[in-house]
Amino acid sequence: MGEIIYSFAIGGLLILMGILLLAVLHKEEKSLLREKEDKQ
Amino acid sequence: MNIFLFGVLGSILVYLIIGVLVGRSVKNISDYYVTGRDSSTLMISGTLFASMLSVTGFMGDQGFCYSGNITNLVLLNAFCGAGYVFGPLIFGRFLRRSKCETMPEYFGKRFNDFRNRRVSGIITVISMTAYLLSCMTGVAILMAEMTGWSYELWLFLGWLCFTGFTFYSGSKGDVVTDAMMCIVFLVAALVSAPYIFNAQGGLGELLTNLMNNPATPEGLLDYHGNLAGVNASDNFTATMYGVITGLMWMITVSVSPWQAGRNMMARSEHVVLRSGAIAATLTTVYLLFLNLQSIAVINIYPNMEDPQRVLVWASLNVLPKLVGTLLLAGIMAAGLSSASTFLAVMGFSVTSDIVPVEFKSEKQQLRVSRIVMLVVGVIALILAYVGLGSMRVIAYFASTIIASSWAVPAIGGILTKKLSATGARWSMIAGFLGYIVPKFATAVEPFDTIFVNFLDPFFVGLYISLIFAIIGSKLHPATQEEMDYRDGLFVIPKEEKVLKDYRRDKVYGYIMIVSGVAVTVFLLFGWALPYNGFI
Repeated sequence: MGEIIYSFAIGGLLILMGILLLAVLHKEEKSLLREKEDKQ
Repeated sequence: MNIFLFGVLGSILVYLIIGVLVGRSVKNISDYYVTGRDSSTLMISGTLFASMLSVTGFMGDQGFCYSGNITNLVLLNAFCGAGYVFGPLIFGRFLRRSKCETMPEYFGKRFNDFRNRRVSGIITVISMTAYLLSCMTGVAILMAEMTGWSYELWLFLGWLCFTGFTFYSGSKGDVVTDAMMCIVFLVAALVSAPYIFNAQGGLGELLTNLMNNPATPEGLLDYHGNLAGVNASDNFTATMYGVITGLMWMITVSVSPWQAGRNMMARSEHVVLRSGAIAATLTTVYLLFLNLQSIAVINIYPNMEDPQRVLVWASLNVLPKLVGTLLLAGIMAAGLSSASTFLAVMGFSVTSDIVPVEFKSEKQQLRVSRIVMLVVGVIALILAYVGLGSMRVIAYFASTIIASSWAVPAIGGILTKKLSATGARWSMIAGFLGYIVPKFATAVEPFDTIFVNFLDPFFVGLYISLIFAIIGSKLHPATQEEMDYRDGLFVIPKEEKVLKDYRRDKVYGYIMIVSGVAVTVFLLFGWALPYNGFI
């Protein structure tokens, strides 16, 4: 059973970091779009 | 001259020539110190991964896997890899925005005090010297054993290679050769894999063969690994070894000058984030692939006397000569790439971070920087010849000590404006001493059993560093200049605000997610489920 949890943990860390990166990028992209709209 | 020796000497010559050729494009201090801040994603991810993976990654770590601790190491690497994403987000991108040329310079500017720059410069020089010596010694011992040539001669040949281009080309030569070396060992491991797996019946048979092999080390296939290999008495403690050591390395790749410092050379913040994503994926996926090759050797040559030579043995005995040469050249490249980075980081700090020097012109500064780099390189060679690199005490000052000392001022300096110059300086000194004193104590009983897990000298240093940061900042609060400088770091530069770049960055995030899913599926169906009898 421990091996199954371990398998999810190893891939899960990579997935978690990918989601974290996407979340930060998404937030900054949104604010950039808003900034552009405000200028227009 | 046999083909192995020819290949290794040939690769040294190629690195030297290319490194020196790159130096011809070094026109100013920015080129020499931070590659003119123009390095691409390939270059930054290559130098990040190559600097991190020294000879230990191909020898000590592989011996650890062969002896039954592959699961501990893969867990450690997964946490370490996470640092490549976490680090740039909370520190690396802000470091790049500072437009500084060294990390000690950043600490001086962020806290508006030259003393902070000097203290971090001294810590850089001490720890990088120790790491460089360990690295030079590792490469020379390996090469001497493999070729029959003397240790002293290999010490000189290795030194000549990385010092030759680092002193002349600075960070430009270092980054380009690091990326080349990274490609060499990535390709080497990819090419060698089918030969090693097939020699024991193919990758598909690896698990079955290991389960049926009476020589398979105890715990190798269990999630907790071999208990004796990590000095653990139960499964939980053994698992925690991977988590704790992984967290140490996660912080190390986030804030140390030989890792986070690479971000200052990136073409843009987008390159910083993309390179981090690549390095994180390589640390988890590629190293897992490499570790599997080491445990496959258990089915070909069990009970090896010196397990850390597992891949060297495979290069000489399992692989075709040409592929074996490539793998050996890759192992040496891993050592040389780390050494060149340590020398560069150390040389830059000696020139500019410890004593304030006013240069008449940039040309003069470049000339002096090159001379200092060469002198530092010669001193390192002399220290290696007198045997300092093989001393156990020297290893205490290498690798993670700098992260224990810098984590609080680096990350804290971004997270809070209340951290003052005094708090940051005291926390660096306290973190350094707080690591080294318990580390020495672990040599005697009962401290060897006290300073473990979250009381590891690394974490003790970190706790003491945090306490002194708070005390220092309370007694001497941050000035308005310090707070204003920090606020400035939160302003995203205009040139970074390009929608197209954000969309490209996202692709790297998706690659990480897909890689993570693939790793989980591979581990589940290739190991966890069949090992537990579910399929």
